[in-house]
Amino acid sequence: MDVFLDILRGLVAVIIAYAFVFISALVNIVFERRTLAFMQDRLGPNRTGPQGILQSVADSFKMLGKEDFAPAAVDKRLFTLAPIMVMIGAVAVQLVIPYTKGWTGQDLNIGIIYIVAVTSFTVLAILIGGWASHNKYSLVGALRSAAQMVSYEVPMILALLVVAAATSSLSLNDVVSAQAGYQWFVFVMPTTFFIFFIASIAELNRGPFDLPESESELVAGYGTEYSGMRFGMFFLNEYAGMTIMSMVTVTLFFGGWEGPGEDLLVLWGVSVIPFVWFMIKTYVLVFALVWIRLSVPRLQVNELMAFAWKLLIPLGLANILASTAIILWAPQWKWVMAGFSWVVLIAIVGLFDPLLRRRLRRKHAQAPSLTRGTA
Amino acid sequence: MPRDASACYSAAGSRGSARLADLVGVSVTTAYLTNWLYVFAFLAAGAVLVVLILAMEFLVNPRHPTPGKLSTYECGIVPVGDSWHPFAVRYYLFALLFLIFDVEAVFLFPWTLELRSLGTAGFIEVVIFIGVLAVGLLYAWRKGALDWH
Repeated sequence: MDVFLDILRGLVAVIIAYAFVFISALVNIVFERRTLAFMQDRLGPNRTGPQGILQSVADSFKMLGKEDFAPAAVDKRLFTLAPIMVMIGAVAVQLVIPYTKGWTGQDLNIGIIYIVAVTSFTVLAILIGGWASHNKYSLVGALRSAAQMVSYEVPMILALLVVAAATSSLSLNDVVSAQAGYQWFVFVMPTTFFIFFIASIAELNRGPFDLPESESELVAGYGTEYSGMRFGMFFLNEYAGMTIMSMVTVTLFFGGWEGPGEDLLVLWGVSVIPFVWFMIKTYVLVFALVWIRLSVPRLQVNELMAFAWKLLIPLGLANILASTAIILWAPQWKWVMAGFSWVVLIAIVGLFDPLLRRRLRRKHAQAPSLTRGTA
Repeated sequence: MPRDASACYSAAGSRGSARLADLVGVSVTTAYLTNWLYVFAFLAAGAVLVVLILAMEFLVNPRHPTPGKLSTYECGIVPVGDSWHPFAVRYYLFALLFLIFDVEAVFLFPWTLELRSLGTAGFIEVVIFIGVLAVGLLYAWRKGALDWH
C-alpha cells in the first residue's frame, strides 16, 4: 500500500510540475506583453478572449500547426535532442521546491546543489542546439549564451553558499523554516540577494543580459534554424523559466510560502493559503523581471563579462567570508548581518553609478568623434 | 555536534519517503536510493514531456520541404564556407575559470554546513583557500584573461 502511495505522490508531483511549466509559460507571455504595453503606453494583445488573455493559447495552437523542418545541413539527432533537453531543467527543478506547507515533491537533503546542477541542463541544450544547427549565427549565439550562463553561475553559487551557511542545511524546506517569523533572507542578507538576483536574470538570458538572442546582431541566436514546436520548446522554457527561477528565489530569500493564515484551510495535510502567498510573491518577482527588462538597455559582451568576473565574483567571495564570520562570532547574528549587508549594498549601489559614469565619460573622450573635425 | 555515518544516512533517507524502504525492510541506504529514484523520474519526465508534444505535432503539422527552405539561413544569400569552424579561444579561458570556481564551491558547501562545529580553525583554513583562489583570479585579471576584446 505504501509503495502505491509513494508512486502516487511521485505522479502528482510530476503532474504539478508539468502544469506549472505550461500554465506559467502561457500566462507569462501574455503577462509580459500586456505589462510592456502598459508601460509603453500602448494596448498590446487585447482581441483574443477578454482583455486578450487567451492570446498565448491561440499562439500555441498556431505553433502546433506550423511546419517543423530541419535544414539539410544540420546534425539531425542532436538537433532534436536539444529541445528535449531544454525542458528537463524546467521540470526537474520543481522536484525540490516547497510550494506550500506540507507539499514538496521530494525534500532532497542536497536541494540547493540539486537546483544548481539541474538548471545547467539549459546551458547544455543551448550549446548542443547551436552546434547542431550548422549555422554561424546559431554557433556564435550558443557560445555567447554558454559563456554568459557559465560566468553568472559562479556568483549564483557563491550567493547560495551564504544561504547554506545561514541555514546549516541544503534542504529547501530547512531554508524556508530558517526564515520563519518573517526573518526573510532578503532582509537579513540583501547583498547576497542582490548577487543572486542579478545572476538569476543572466541565467534566464533575459532583461539587460539577453545578448545570446540580440536580434540586431545574431538573428535569433541559437534558435535561428529552429522552427515549429522544436523552436516552441526553447520559447516555452524561457518563459516558464521566469516563474520557476522566481519560485526558487522566493524559496531562498522571501520566506517561501510564509504568510498570515497558514492553517486556515488544510486539505489532506497540505495547506492552501500559503500556496497563494507563494504565488503572489513569485509574481511580484516576475513583474520585477519584466520591469527590469523594459528599463535597462542591453549590455555589451565585454561589459557583461566584466560585470560578472570583476564585480560580482570578487563581491561574492568577500561576501562569503564576511557573512560566515558574522554567523560564527556575532551574537544575534541576523541583526548584525542585516546591518552590515544593508550598508554594503547601499555603498555598492551608491558607488557603482558614479564610477560607471566617470568611466563612460573617459571612454567618450578617447573615442574618435564622427562629427568633430569634419567640415 | 558529532555525526557518524549512519546518522548521515538516516538524515538522507528519513525525509519524505522512507516508506518504500520500510516495506522492503532493508537498510536506510534503500531509502536514500528512493530519493534518487524521484530525481531520475523527474529528469525522465522532463524529456518525456517534450517527446509527447513533438509526437503530437508530428501528427498534425504540414511538411513541404523545398531546397531553398532546407538551405542554411545566412540572411538570404547562399552560405559561405563551413559553419563548424574554430571559434575564439577566449570562450575556453572562461570555461577554465568557471571550472576552478565551480570546484571551489563543491569544496565550500560541506564547510558551510559544518560552519559552527568547525569554528575558528575551519574559518581560517577557508580564508587561506579563498585567498589562494582570489590570487588566481587577480592573476587572470592582470593577465587580461577577463577582458573581452
